[in-house]
Amino acid sequence: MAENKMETKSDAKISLDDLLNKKDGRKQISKLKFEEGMSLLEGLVAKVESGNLALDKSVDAYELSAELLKHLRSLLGEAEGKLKTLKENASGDIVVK
Amino acid sequence: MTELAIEEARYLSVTELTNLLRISLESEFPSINFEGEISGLKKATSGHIYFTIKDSNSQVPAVIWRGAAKVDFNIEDGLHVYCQGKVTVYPAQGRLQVVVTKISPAGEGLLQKKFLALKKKLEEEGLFAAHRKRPIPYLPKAVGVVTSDKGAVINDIMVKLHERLPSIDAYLVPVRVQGKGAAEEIVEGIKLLNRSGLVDVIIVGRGGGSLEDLWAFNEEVLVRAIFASQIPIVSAVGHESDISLSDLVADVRAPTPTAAAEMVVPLKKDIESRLDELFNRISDFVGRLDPFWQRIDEVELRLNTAIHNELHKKDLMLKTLQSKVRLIEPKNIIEILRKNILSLGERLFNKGNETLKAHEFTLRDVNSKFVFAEKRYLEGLSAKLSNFESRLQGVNPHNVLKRGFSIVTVRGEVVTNIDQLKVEDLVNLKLSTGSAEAKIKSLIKE
Repeated sequence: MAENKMETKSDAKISLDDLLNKKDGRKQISKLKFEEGMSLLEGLVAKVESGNLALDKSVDAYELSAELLKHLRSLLGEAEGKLKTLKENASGDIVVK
Repeated sequence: MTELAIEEARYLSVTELTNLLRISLESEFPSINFEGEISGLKKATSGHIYFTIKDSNSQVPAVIWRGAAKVDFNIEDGLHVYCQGKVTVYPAQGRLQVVVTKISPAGEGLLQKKFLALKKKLEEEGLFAAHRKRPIPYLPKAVGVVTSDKGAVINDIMVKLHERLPSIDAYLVPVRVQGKGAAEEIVEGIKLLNRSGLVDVIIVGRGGGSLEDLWAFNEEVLVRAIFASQIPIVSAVGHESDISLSDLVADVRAPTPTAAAEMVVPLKKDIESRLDELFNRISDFVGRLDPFWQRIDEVELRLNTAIHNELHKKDLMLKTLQSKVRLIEPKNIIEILRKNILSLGERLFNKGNETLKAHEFTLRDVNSKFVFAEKRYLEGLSAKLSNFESRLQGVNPHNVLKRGFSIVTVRGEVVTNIDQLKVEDLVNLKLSTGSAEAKIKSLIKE
């Protein structure tokens, strides 16, 4: 059975460096798709663990990871998902029930 | 062998006979293809299927042993079928029969041809090329489903979706999945979901059935619609062994609708544990940094002190330099020059003063000498004056007047000449003891 792999493509609109170094980088987090956010989070953890990050940046990285996690968890959602029916009415409008 | 048996006048048992026939037939006809119409169909509870295949003149009994051949169509009396099988003898009844290993409705032969032709054509066009397959999102915002709202498929999909990710929403476009017009309905469903913007992955599918039942998913119009969809499509048509052209063109082919549901959403607990793991890793790392921070703080403090001292030194140096620089500033140079000039002036003035004082002294000396000389001179003069005075006393007019002379004045002037007078002039006569006025009566010139 083909399971979803936790592989994520790094096609995020913002890079890890932007996130770490640009002042408004963090504002972008809420717009990230799950894959993008996940990819950034994984990159962030790898970067922190590599030890190549300046010490002050590693604290930023920690805060950033917390924000990314919050966003990713919000994407997972808490509410019960529903099945809705999509139809097109006579005038071509989309009707959701 | 048979001849030998008769020669020896040995009679075969029926079982031997039927066995001989069976072996003979089976070796002669291990696999034959034939076609005919089904009649007398019996589906035994054991799972075996018994029937007769006939045409207008002949008939032959047939059997499909349970599981020996795939029967994915509605097998029924009257159906024209293509069969493949071996000819044998059923010993219990000494009856010839065909054990069928493949069977398909005759109509499907045509469909099969059509399927292969269309597959070849679309393949050549590149519709099935691996490079154009798009990845499906890891976590879709919602899942679109194009299938029948009746039957198990949508239910299977929803159960699996919510089992994996309870919060996932799904949008169903209910369509007919077989029969005339089904392909077109499915095409519209795909287009509708594309237009809606509500989903970022679509499952298109139906449950198992015969090639005929699944035919909608082999129609060119649907295959092209799947190809044209902006949203990635997972196909789930029939069972694993049924491969439709929709499966070939879809971005991902799922063997069953349930499998499709598994493919389009991740397992929530997998994600959560992955997120937890990542968070723990970064927390651990940052936590391990605390002792470093303390050291950094110390170093920072020392650095600050060092910098402060150094700065202080530099500051002093700077101030010295600054005062030096100030000296060569044009404004200051002018000031200095001005001061120099003033001091020169002052010195000059002082010098002048000294000179003046010297002169003054001399002057005073001279002066005193002069004053002394003057005094003597004046004393001399005074004596002379007294002399003069006494002498003057002698000529004093008043004294003259005392002697009987008078001074005549007219209009304020002393009259010394007769021409000064006119007749009728009032004249003043000054005498020694007073004065008098007189009028001129006549003038006598001498």
